[in-house]
Amino acid sequence: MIGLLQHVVDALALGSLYALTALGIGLIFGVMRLINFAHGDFIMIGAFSLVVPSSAATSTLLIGAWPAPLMVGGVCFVVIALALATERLAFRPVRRADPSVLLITSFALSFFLQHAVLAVHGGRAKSANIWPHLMEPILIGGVRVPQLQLITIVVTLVLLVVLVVFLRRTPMGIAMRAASEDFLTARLLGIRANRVIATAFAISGLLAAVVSLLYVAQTSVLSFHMGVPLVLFAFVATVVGGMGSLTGAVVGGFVVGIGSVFFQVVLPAGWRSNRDVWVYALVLLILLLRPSGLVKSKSIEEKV
Amino acid sequence: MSGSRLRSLLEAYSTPVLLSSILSLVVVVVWMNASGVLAQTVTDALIRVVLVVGLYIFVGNSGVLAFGHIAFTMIGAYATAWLTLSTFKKSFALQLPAILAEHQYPVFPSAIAASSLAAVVALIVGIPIMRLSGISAAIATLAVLGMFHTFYNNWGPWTMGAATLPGVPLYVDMWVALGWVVFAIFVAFIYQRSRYGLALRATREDEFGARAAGISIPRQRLIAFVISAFFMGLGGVLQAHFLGSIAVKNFWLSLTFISLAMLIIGGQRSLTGAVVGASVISAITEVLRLVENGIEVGGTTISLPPGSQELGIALVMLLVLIFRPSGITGGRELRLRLSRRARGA
Amino acid sequence: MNTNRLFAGFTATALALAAYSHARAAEDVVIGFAVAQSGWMEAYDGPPLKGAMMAIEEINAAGGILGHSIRAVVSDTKTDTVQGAKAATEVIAKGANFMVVSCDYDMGAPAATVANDKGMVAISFCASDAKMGVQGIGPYAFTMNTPGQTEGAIAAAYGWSKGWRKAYALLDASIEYNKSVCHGFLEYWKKLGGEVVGVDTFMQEDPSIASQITRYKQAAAAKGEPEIMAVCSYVPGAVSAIRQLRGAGIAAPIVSGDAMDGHYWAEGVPGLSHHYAVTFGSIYGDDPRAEVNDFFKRYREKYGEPETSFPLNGYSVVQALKIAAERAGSLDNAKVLAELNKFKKEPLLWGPTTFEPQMHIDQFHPMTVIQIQDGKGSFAASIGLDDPPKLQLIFPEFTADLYEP
Repeated sequence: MIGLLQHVVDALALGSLYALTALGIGLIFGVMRLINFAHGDFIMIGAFSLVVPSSAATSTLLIGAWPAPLMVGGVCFVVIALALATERLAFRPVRRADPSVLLITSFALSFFLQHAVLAVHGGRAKSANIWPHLMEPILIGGVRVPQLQLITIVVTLVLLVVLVVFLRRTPMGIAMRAASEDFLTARLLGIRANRVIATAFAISGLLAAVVSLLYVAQTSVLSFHMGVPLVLFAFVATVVGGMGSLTGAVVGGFVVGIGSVFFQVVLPAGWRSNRDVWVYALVLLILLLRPSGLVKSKSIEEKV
Repeated sequence: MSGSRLRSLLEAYSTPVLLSSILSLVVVVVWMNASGVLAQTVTDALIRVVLVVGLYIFVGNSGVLAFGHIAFTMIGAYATAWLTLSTFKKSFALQLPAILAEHQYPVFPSAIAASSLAAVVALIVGIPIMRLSGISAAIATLAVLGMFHTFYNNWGPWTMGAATLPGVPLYVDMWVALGWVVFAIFVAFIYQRSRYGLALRATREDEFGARAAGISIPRQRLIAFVISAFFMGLGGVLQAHFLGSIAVKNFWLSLTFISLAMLIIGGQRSLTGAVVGASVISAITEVLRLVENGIEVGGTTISLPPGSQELGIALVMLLVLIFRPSGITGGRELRLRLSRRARGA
Repeated sequence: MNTNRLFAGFTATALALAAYSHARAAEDVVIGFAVAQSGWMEAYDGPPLKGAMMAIEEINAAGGILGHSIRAVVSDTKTDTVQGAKAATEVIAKGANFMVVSCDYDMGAPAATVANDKGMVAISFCASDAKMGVQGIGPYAFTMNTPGQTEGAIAAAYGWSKGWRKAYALLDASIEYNKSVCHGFLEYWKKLGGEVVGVDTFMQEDPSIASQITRYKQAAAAKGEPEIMAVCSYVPGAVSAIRQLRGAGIAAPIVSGDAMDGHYWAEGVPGLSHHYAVTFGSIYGDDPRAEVNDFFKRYREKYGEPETSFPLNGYSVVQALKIAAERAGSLDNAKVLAELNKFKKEPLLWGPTTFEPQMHIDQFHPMTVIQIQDGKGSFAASIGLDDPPKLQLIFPEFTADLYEP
């Protein structure tokens, strides 16, 4: 029983990480039909901003050495700035193009960012030790839960609530929802596309920054490739959840995270290395049974 | 055959004839002048052309993105290894059933068989997936790739797991690759002009209209998917016999994306775009690599720091996408007009 | 752009220029290096390449090979397999007599295949896989390392010598090297009579190993706390796993293979103790072999602090070519190959090295155990096995009941 509870917490924490990433991707998809593969590299750059750029094997903390509030602010600033810059320089010029062109643009951007980091930081993965005390577990009802897992779950819930309030209560949030329902009509009604899209990128940058911090606190890993597996599963999650629906992105993130932990737990030892076969099979099954995702979006009749 | 019939036949097939001739010319020029390294580069580029043409057959004609096609490339590559590795190598590297383990098959029928296996797998997974539309279909193919990737990575007796499988006979050079490229270009062209190809292209332009006209979208997409998978598999076969070794990790996201990028940068709506995209990106990559290694300009050697090639190619791709969002060819085909009759594009 | 990478760029240019200006100097012995100078593999090929360059310089100062001086030709594989094959063709075109390939079987295979096809000896810096040899690439391929299975077995032998009896194995199933280390560990551990509390797997890029930790704790509660834990993985996934294990209060000694050499990664795990890696030598000046300590002293003067002991292997590769060529009295590849095949405890810098016509990886090589205590690295032990696990090229699924005697 205690083991089961522990697995549930593990699954929720991993699901939270995927849900936050999926939300960042889902938000951008909503306003401009862009599947932003470079979102993973936003996370990666956020992580690397913690240390001094250098090709030495050992890393020296930069933003990572600042006190916690400044560190969080610093990483958010870097990633949001990056997200806005990519929007302005790479995505705005191709905004009206086919979604496949948008996708490949984000791929080219991702390739660029990864190789830029490789060139600056060298090929050896680095470590950054932030908030090591968060790894210590606390006892809740007989279950030993690492504080970081709890923080990950709580932060995800708080961000979700804030985002929902923002989307429902503020003029910009309402404009953003209108834009993701029907971008053309929203524009005709006087919504300023550039502002809405830039805001969406800023929020997705913020979400990416939070994921970087949680991820590095958990793993300490800085690698040019670290964003790829996250974004891959998050991307799958947004589609499973229902492309174009933010609730769907979150649901999808949890489904993929929980599914991954579930198979890790139930598969016998000899099968576990094939865990991802089962995760992808689950994804395939969901798509075949519910082609438009678990949470159906009202507006999407897309052709990608 | 009268002159005018020949002319109209040539005109009808001018696109594949021209594309094949240009590539052949490049191969002949390289063959007459250059070093082994350039010949290898050209071979690699030609294999990429096969892959991108394979991708185009489905993506270009249907307008549906697919992320999973590299699974078929991997299937083709390993299948040809099962058939063509020497029995000595198979005996200690793999644990195959007797029909594979005790024979070494000739390379040409093996190439056909391996590519056909990819097509058969595509047929099986395609039947359910082709009912999906748009992004769901794209992600479903990605899930298929994820499943095959993970499975092959752990399928020790057949694939040596994650380790590189060595000892695949080396026979693919520029000429072999060129031969298959020409075959791929002609098949792709014949397909896109066939009634199946035209039906699929109709669904790309107007899904509802095509459906109203009685076209079964899943069925048409499935046909393209299977033909496309054959050539993706063939690309894998060529890659295996070009490098002499294959590894599961090379059939994953980077190959998926670079092939898609080549198609879209070339212009995803035309066969010419597929060929141009693969050739141009390969050529620019090689030029950047040479500059990175150091080229001599007026007596001094200019070189760029390691890694600049990758940054350079990413920038080139971004610039093309920004300034020519519909690709280098803009979806037009290269064609020849021999008669004065004006023809619609 | 930082200075190290600029330096690398300049070195490459200088080498390219040197290669060009010497293109006609047929008297030189040319060693072609088809290794990564960019991409992630550069981090693993760079240090042994520096070691090899030191060997070339020192051997040239002492008269070269058969009176010819050695010249290096380097071509960048860019951590890419197709580019690897092209790099091999390029160094051959630039006159290479012998070839050296990447410190990894997967990345080195395409270049070694080209060399083997041309009947040219190709030695990998440090691939820990017999397939970089007769069993895979072919008769001309060698590697200057011991199989991952032997590394795992030595880790087991070390743990046994410390009196530990209960083991747990955590395998990162993403690459074969990890599998070979964990299988070698498990097989040797059972042969010694050790108990296995449990086995589990994770994947290199998993963001969390929380469920593996939960399973570990269940096993520990049921069968007793493990006294030794094999974590078969590599940087960075291994660092992530160890951070999470230690964070969860799991203090069992951790053993691993040469992928975890050095302690540069240990800052991800604050105050890490009881980590033991089986590798080639100690970079901390406390290796029992004076020549190793002396080598790293010279290395430091030239290139700064080494991250790992891999430069030893780079140096040894050039040494091996020199010894074989001089015994053969010729640069002819078939003759050099025959001499390499006769190596019997040949004293190279990384240790006594044995090759056989059917075994181009040294299964019996004594290895060094490096420990990390309080985040600091030091020498722990030197162990060689007379009875390493029998070579396997394919590993079965990883379960606790494997290798029951």
